[in-house]
Amino acid sequence: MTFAAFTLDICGVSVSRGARAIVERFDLTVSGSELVWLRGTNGVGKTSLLRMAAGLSRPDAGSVTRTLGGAAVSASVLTGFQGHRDAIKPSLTVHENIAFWAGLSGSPDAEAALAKVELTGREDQKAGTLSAGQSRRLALAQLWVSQKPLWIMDEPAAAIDVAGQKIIDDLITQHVRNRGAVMLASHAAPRGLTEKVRFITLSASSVAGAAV
Amino acid sequence: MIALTLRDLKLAMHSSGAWLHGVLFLLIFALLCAVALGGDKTVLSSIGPALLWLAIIFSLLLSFEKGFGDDARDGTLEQLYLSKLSLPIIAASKLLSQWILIVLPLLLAAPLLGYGFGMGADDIRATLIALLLGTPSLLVYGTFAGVCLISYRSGGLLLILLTVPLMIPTLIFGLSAVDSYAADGIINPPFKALAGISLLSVGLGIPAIAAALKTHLETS
Repeated sequence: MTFAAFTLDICGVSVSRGARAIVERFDLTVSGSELVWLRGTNGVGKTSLLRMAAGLSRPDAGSVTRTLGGAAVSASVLTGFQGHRDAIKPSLTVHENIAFWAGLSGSPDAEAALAKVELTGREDQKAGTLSAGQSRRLALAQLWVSQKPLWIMDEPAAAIDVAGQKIIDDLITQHVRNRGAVMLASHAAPRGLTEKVRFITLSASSVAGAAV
Repeated sequence: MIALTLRDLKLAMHSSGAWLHGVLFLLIFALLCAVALGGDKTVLSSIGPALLWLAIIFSLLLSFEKGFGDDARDGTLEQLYLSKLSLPIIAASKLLSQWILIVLPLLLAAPLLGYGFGMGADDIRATLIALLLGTPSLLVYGTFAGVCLISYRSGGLLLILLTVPLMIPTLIFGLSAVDSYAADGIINPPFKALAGISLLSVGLGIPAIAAALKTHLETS
């Protein structure tokens, strides 16, 4: 499936953690077929910015607008989020976990999503017995079945080995080719991502954007 | 919404009986009451309704912390927020699953305890109807307080302090409903008051829980 044209427009946004402003007057527009890579040292505000872009928090100042097919939409229509926590229930099986999220989004592709992250054959295993990297891949499959055009990913490669990184890269590449977009934060160097990557480097209180 | 409730029930089935802790507590409480009061059935049967109400309130207070706690900690809550479900729907389905898992077992055990206390059939019936009408309000107060306190590691005591004052009207009407049942049957003011309190608290509680969930997400 391919996605309709959409935009995420972050305009003059400030984000604070506690009393401290960590991102000030940040501007960014993301639309289909784009891959945006946030870089920056720990504590510079990548996660706060991603949570805000995903619609999980509101900015202190500025505005975030989202459109899909020309009409303004809410965050839950546009964005899927993969954070530090995987939203996996350890006492349910792998299949029960993925089937729940597939059912919520009306996606028929639970098995196909498991195949994409190479968890086929583990459907009946309790999710609690998966390794950290396998859990991460299951979370990725959950992101896939959400059928959202814009993926917001916070350190998607954490706890993932080289083979797993290739799975992530392939999924991201495929998503961008389907006219989706990905906005991610990661410390790892760009790997096998073949799509054009737009790097944004965050530094303390001064934000510079550069397209590569 | 039903999918979410069913998932909570399935999770509870895998929790090696954690959902039965409330009933276990209820039984222990009743046993201790019987021992403390010397096992005298004339005393027990006359204060039976009050003991049942107290036992159920204490059991509920023990169970409230679960609520949305796990979903908030493992990231499920933020994924649900970004799904097609709205927060009020998420809140309502949680209330439904909590009612089935926490309240329903207590209501099923209550008549047995009433029988054990030597209460008459009318008193048992009246207490059960009063509990049925009143417990939804208790569940809403507890779930709301639980969501407000998700971020606090030791919110247990605070939760009790926040919830107990709200529970007192339900308790008062619950007991007077039992008293007036013999004379007036089920159509009497305390029963109506109980139903009213529960309807009001569910109606206001669902948007309140949704707002508290949103606040939690935005500050985490």
